[in-house]
Amino acid sequence: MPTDSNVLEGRTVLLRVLDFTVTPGPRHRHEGDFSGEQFREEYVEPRYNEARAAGKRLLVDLDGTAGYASSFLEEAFGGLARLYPIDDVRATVRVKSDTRPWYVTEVMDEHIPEARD
Amino acid sequence: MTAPSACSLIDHPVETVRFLNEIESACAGGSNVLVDLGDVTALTPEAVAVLLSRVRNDRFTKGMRVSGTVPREQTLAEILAESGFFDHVVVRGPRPKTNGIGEIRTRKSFKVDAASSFDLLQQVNQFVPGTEFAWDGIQRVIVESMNNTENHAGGQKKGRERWWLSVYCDREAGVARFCFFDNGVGIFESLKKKGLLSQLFRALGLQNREALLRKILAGEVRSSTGLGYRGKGLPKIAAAFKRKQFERLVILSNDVYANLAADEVRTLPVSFSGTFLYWEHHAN
Repeated sequence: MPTDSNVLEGRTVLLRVLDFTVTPGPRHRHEGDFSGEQFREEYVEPRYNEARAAGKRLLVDLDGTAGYASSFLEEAFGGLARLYPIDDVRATVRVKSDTRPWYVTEVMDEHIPEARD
Repeated sequence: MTAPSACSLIDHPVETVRFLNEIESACAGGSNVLVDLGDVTALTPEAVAVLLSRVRNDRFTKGMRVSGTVPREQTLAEILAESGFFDHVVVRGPRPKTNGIGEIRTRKSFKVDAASSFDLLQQVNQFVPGTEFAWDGIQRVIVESMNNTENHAGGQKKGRERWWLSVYCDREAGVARFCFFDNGVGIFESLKKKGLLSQLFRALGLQNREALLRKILAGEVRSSTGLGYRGKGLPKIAAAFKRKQFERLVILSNDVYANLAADEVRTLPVSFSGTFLYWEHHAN
């Protein structure tokens, strides 16, 4: 049975990008549809706050989409780390991709740590 | 105006860019232009796409009329016909027909349109099949490039420049030949207009634009926005090429030409107004 993104699973809040769109777009809303900004504001931040309040982790599943521009991922995750304490974001957020592991490296090793550069 | 015998931005960039610039200059001088393609012996789809984008753009034609002749070589005439070139250029002589060996699909817009790109890739997949791994890399190239056009191609003005995406599906060879380009200011002229080009040369100890492009592709140059967390588009495209998600990446912007498969970056004696990328997807 598929897991609903809103269901809390044990110590983790799960969020699938696929529930937002198959075709992630640009960084900002004004640049095109399904932007990283929109994803962060409407999906990531509410789940992040939910996870923090419950003392849980937020796991974002990147699989199943057409592909990502770096600016989408940077705005979604680096943008989160510009709004909230970066150590809290690092402690709370995890991303996963079974088919495209380079996106995981990119988010966890570049976009979040370098968000305030 | 006679086209070079080998009309190809990827293989003969100097002659082809010079030809494009000559057409523009003639139009700017108030002349109607006859593009003579009769003797071309090589005509690659990406050169046709750029030529077509320019003859349809008043900024280049200045309202002058552009007409053309048909290549004597039948397969080249068919590529030109398949591209829709003769829907926009008055042809001298009988108009060639397509033979259906190749398919050309084109998109153009001012916005970042990931859905349009994905739709195109699904169509290409019917002619030249690929894996999720391949399409992921190609979707990334396209959307990163759309972002670059949106943010940089218009100089200080964002979202003013149109991008073009064209793919020629050669079903016999099992190769999809993609190109993405805009006719904007180009990478180096954009940096120059923002007053950043000489600063970057000094800060990085570089002597020329070739070296700067290498640094950009390696992810060693911060974005021209001044924000360190931006400007990752071209490095990520280069990384996808290194992962072999697609083949043969060529980048042309202003007077710098890069062929990443050959690790070649060189300065041209002519300047392409805009930024152009070419890559291939091979079935299997």
